[in-house]
Amino acid sequence: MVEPLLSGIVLGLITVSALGLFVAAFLQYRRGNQFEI
Amino acid sequence: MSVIKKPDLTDPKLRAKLAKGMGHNYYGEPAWPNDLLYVFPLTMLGTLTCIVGLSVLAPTQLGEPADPFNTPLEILPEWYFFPTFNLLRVLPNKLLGVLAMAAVPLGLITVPFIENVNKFQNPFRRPLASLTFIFGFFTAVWLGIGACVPIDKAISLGFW
Repeated sequence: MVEPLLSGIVLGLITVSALGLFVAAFLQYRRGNQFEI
Repeated sequence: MSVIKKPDLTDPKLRAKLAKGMGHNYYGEPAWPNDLLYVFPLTMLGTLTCIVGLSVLAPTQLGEPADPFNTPLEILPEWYFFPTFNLLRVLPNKLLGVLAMAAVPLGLITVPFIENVNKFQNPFRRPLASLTFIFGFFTAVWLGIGACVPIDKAISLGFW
């Protein structure tokens, strides 16, 4: 039984979570090391 | 982004901690107050809203009563088993199917070791591990969607 609401929640959360991971990682990557220690 | 508070690198106490090289945070945002005060309550409320909203608007229905003499028309596992279910479904050989299912956790275990010589944590500095993740992730979602369609479209999803 495929429930459209559940499918939407699952697929939406999956994509948004993965995208958020990479966006946050990219922001930190771009910022680089600002503190040489 | 407006609420981000960065670590104060002029603070001698923080510099002393950083000089120890024990992994104190010098590049990102401290958890307080960025995450703990602003993000955590939002996610808690969002989760609560989702759960309460769903339970009010789309309550769980009682399914068909079980009948041992009649297989239901559509048999599907829980949604998080869709990719492995599809794998089992499309592989013609049962041994092959079991081996493929065993290969999933084995493959996942290798991911952290693939690029272990790399000292960086950031995904953009670990291209091999990141590409492995993206490939596996995409495959899992693709196979999961394939589990919901008839078996002749289980791999192609009707695209070819």
